[in-house]
Amino acid sequence: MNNRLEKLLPVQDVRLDGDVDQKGLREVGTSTPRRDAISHVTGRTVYFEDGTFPGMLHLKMVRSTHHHARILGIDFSEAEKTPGFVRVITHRDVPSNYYTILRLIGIEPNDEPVLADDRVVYWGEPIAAILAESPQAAAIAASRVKVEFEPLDAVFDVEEALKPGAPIVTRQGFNYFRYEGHHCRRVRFGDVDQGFASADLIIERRWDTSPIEHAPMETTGCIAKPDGDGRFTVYTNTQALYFSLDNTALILGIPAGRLHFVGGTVGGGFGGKVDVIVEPIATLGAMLTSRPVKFVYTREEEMRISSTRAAERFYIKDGVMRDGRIVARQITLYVDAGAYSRHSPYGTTKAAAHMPGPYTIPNVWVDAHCVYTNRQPSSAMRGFGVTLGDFAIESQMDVIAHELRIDPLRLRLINAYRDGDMKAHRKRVEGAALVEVIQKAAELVEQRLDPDLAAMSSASR
Amino acid sequence: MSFPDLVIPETVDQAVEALSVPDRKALIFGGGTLVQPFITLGIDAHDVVIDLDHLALNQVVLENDQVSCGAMVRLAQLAQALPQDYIQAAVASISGPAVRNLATVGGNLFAKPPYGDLATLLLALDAEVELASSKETRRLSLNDFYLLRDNAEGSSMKGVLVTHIRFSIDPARKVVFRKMARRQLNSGAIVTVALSLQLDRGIVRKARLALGGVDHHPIRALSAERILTGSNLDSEAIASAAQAARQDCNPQTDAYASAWYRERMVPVQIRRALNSLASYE
Amino acid sequence: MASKNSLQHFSFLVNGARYDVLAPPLMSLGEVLREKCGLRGLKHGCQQGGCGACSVQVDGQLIPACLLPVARANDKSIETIEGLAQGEKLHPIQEAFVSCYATQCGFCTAGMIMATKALLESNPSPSREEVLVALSGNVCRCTGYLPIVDAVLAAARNARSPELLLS
Repeated sequence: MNNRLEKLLPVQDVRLDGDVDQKGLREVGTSTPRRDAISHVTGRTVYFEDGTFPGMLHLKMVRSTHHHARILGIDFSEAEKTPGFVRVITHRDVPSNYYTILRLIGIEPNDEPVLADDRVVYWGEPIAAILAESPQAAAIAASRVKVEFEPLDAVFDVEEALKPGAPIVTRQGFNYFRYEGHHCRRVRFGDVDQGFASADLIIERRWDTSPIEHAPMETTGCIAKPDGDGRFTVYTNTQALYFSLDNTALILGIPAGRLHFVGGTVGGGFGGKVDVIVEPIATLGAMLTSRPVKFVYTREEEMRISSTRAAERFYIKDGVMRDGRIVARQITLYVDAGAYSRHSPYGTTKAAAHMPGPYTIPNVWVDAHCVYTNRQPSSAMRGFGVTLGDFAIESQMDVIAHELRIDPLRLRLINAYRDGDMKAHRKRVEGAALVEVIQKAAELVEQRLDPDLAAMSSASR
Repeated sequence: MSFPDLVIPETVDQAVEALSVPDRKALIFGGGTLVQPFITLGIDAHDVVIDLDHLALNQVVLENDQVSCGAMVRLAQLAQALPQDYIQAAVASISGPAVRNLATVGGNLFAKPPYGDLATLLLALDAEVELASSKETRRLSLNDFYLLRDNAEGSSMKGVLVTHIRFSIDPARKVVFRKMARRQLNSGAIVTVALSLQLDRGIVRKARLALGGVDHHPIRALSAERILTGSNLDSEAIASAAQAARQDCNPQTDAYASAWYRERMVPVQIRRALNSLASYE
Repeated sequence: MASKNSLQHFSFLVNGARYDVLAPPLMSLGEVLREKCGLRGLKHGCQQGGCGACSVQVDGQLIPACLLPVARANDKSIETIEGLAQGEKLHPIQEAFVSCYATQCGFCTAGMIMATKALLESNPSPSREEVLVALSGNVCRCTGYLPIVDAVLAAARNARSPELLLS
């Protein structure tokens, strides 16, 4: 163990009431200016787009104008005549066109093409990349590409997508991610049917959310530059440098050692720049032309095509006792992954593990579905996989409090999990603090808690 | 190669001549706030851009409550020149301060919904536009101008330039402007209401009710105007006029609001505009 | 009267220094300043005048550099974020943004500061409401705006101290 770790305080010496042992702590409790503030306010902070590279080409993507369609043919002849046009890249040029971001940790299948081949499954899906001498020439050339589509039926709702006869979005023949052979992530703890039978009251609600666009001030983009020795330097604003580097290597069929990814300041990420989406095609462009290639999203592409926080739907059925104890909780949740997996299989797993919330409930049943629809592929955003679950759970808790005519804080304090409790997905609770946080918050807003609530502790029930 | 050619006429005649060249796709460049993005982003490529900045159309002339406004007058400049509440409110509702330093009065007439809020006010003020073409110079009401554009679908409008906008700021009229938007500032319209009433001892002699955001350009709510004219602005007249306006609208769905929502907000916003006037009495 | 879109010569001052560039007349000032003058402080968040990240001053007026063709900037005097600090000495507005934690990712910052500068030059003691209107064309996705408004009000207070007034 290195010296620095040895000097850290053991956890039990830090007391929750904020009266921290001052030994060795110099930053907590002080106001420290941000390290990057001065470069931000002087305009000196470097972002990916701030380099000048002689001979740089600009990439503009030709995109699907249908939600779901077969591609019957593409005519590049008018585009090629555009002054400034240099070349087009299609799926035939991509060494290994299909990938999924999380293949790096064993998630399968590689469902997403860098460039579409015979079909498109979301509005805006990339079909062909135009390279030109200026961004204007690239955009004009791209607008002159003629794609012949055969439109197909599309599905936009998670439950519709799981019904027999629904349009199939994936190439596997079904619209959900398979978790070790199962159609969803499942959590089973105790016996909810018995729990419901013993409950005083059953409360059932449905909760829905919409996709949320991160809308960073800086749009997604990168510049890929050949170093002249077979290596490429890629300046990118990705939040996921190694996801992007490793996937680019796999897509291009080159050793990862030939790629040098330079990240740094991201002009707003919020989880929206964790996709591997601009670097592989830009690097391929640099490889095919031996020139630097810039690919940056327009504001319209950022808002309409880039990944969003997934829309989610929750059905929560609770069995509750008149005194406020929740004795059974059954949750069916659907994550709308959009047309491709990206991070959604992982996010759905997180969502399942997050149920039933920070409460000790003896009987829990969860089915968490990762569903494919013809919407823009969704991805991560602030509190990936869990934030929307909290919206649903806490809204449900308020409904329960209202139905039982119990103070909403009392309801939560009664059910809050304590250290040592077993969670539904079979992990023991450690370091719980929900009780103390509620007590502190109540104090700060001058809301008096009843004596039995004020005396509660996360250390014991 | 990536940009259109730039033509900078020095007189209105030269501008009109440049616009009339056949088989050439020309883009009129006023303030640039609506058209520069198309040039920068390589969208809808034009052959040539006609720059209006050298035509001396940038004066606001005020004479006896009549305003003559050159088409190139900037929105910020208009707000500096005219202190009326409704002018201030309409200009302030459009985008942000930097854009208002560039955007023009003439350009706003062509701003597609959910924009065009000054044009909505001008419609309620019975504004007139002066049009220059190679044949003639003529004036028509802004309302007729929009109808002409609807019917012509742009073809007979080729070679025509809006040079001036004229409107009255007669203090005897009661004018209200209100814009419903997702945010208080720098946001497109859900519904914009511009109302101008001439009252004589509590009876409405003349009513102009213009709506923005509820069709392909600002419109006059003629059904509502008919109900208001001759009324005493009691709550029944107000409610009736507000509801009647729905049939005058043809709202569209966009990122800000659905057509469904816009249609239902029309009577609400009209009622509020009328009530705010009634409370002055 | 007609000029081809091919490169033309334009000349303007930026932060007091003269720049001569060859550019298509309809290339935006924003693109020219960033790509041909090496002044990368202004940012392009939308290319439509909707976000304010490219705000600069042209002859003292705040304008979105993405909406002004370089032809219209000829012979003008332009001010950008790079002109505020004097070497390592920060302008009071910059100091206020640092001390009020008014930055996070930094992408909106140059535009916010230029909008602030334009405001305080015409209105040295703005009310909070006037600050909100003056910055209404500048979008920030990180801070929630409150620290930025605090910074503008703090800058207004500091700039009124005699020793910090710039001539």
